[in-house]
Amino acid sequence: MALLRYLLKRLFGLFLVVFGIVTILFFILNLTPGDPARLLAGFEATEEDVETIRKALGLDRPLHERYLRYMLNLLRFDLGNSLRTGTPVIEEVLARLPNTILLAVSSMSLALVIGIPLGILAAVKNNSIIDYLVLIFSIIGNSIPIFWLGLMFIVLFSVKLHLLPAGGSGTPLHLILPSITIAIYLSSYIVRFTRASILEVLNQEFVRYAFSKGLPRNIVLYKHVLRNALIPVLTISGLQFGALLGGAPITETVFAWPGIGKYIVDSIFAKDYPAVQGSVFIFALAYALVNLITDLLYVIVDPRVKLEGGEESE
Amino acid sequence: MNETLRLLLKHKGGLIGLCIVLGSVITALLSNFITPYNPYDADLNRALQSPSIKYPLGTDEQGRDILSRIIYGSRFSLFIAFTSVAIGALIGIPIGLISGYYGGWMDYIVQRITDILLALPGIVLALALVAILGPGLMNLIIAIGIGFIPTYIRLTRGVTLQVKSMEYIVAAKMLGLSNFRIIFRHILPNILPPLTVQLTLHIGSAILGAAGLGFLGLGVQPPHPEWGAMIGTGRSYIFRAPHLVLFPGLALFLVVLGFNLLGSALQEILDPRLRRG
Repeated sequence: MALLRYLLKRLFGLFLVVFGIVTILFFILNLTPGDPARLLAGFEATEEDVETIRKALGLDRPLHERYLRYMLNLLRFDLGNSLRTGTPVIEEVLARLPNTILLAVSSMSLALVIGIPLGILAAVKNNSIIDYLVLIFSIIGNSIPIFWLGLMFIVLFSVKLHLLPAGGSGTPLHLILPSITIAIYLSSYIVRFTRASILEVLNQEFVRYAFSKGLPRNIVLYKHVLRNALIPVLTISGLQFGALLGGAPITETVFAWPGIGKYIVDSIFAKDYPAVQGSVFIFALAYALVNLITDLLYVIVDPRVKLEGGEESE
Repeated sequence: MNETLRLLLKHKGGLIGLCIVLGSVITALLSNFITPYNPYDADLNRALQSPSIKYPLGTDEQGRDILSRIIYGSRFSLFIAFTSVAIGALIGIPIGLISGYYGGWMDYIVQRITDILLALPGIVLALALVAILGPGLMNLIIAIGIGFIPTYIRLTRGVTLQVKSMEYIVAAKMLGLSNFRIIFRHILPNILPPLTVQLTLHIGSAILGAAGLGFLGLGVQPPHPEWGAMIGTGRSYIFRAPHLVLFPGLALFLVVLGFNLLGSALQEILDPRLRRG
């Protein structure tokens, strides 16, 4: 019951956030100077042509009317048509969504496989040479420009060694370079977070007690420390995963990966505003949903979390 | 503060970070005098040369000296980073202080707006803003700066809430000190340590964000030698002349590394729980 009430409250919050984003975007896009109809018609078009397009797009209607209609359409997931191709934006976005999800899942799995063991190792061997090496890896991963790292991988593995394709999609081989590039950046967070979280649990009373009872070190580590320490790691990974669904726009562009991120970038260059607006909407929705799912998992995994607040998403 | 500096100089990572940061700031300030060639001086006769004694880092597709462009480019990266972080902090901190101190319905509204801004990660928010404002230096600074505002609101509000209920603040209220005075003289100083860490780390991410947008062609525009834009242009020549991409990227990496090393060293020093033996 408490879980259900919590869920409803969070869903309402999610609705408010997405509603807010869409509203802000709509008004900024529509109040900034620049005439989409003129842009679409091209510079040689006559005034009448521009007027026809304006009518066709509904741009001759007053602002509040356009806003209302836009919102009503959104409720039906009608995001308008792309100015470039004329196809509905929702179709264009949905066609690219699987690619973005594929890349997000593969790079997140890789990042967890690298990050969690390294973080555990660093924490258990606190202040050893291994700990320092892991820390150096984490700071480097956090400081490296990932688009540059991606390009360097292309130079090394595609241009020099001819091992992997430089860009595009279609085969599992295409997935390797972009996944590694994103995973290096992601795991630098996960490593640091896992290490800090485990160190914190190691210092807690019940763990010291378990040690002092004479329980073997490994049993304490697995049964008491890991289970408690990995919960916050789950949260941070969930948040990062949500961000990845935004399609890591830059990495997708580097590897010509046909996902939502690259679509947003291409749409910006084409001044295809419905496409930009629509993909940002889908993105905000996906991000908010992933956050919600992460929070729910958190509640299920850790029975100590109380459900009343629903606002402690700091 | 002297204690912090002393610990920082003893901290290996912190010392390296401080040196890189100071070095890059000095380079940027002196860039007019120390570039071997004019960074904008094109000559197609010497285009795409590999590194040599004459041109230590080679020349780009228009024959411009890459070393000079990287030195001059440090101005763009640092200027954008410092100003955009300043925008985020100067708007976010006062809002967070007031929102946390007074609470109530105002706090509620501010927090919901913050939720909205936080619902889009920095790069997507910046992309959306640049799409609306158009590319260019000022728009880039605004787009990146706005992305930092919610983080500062959250951070400042969190610390304010913690400090607010402490005895000395309650005492200050009972003494009849004005709210303004309590906020700025008694609460703000408590927030400074975590803020210093956050500011330093944000400079690094602002540099990377600006470079990312520059790389896409949505940031500082050519012919200006912003590092991200240099990588973006160099990308077309990556098969023939990878040094066009290699060196600006190394410069970016080094400077961001400097700020991140400094930031995490400060974090360890200012937060005793993280201090190493």
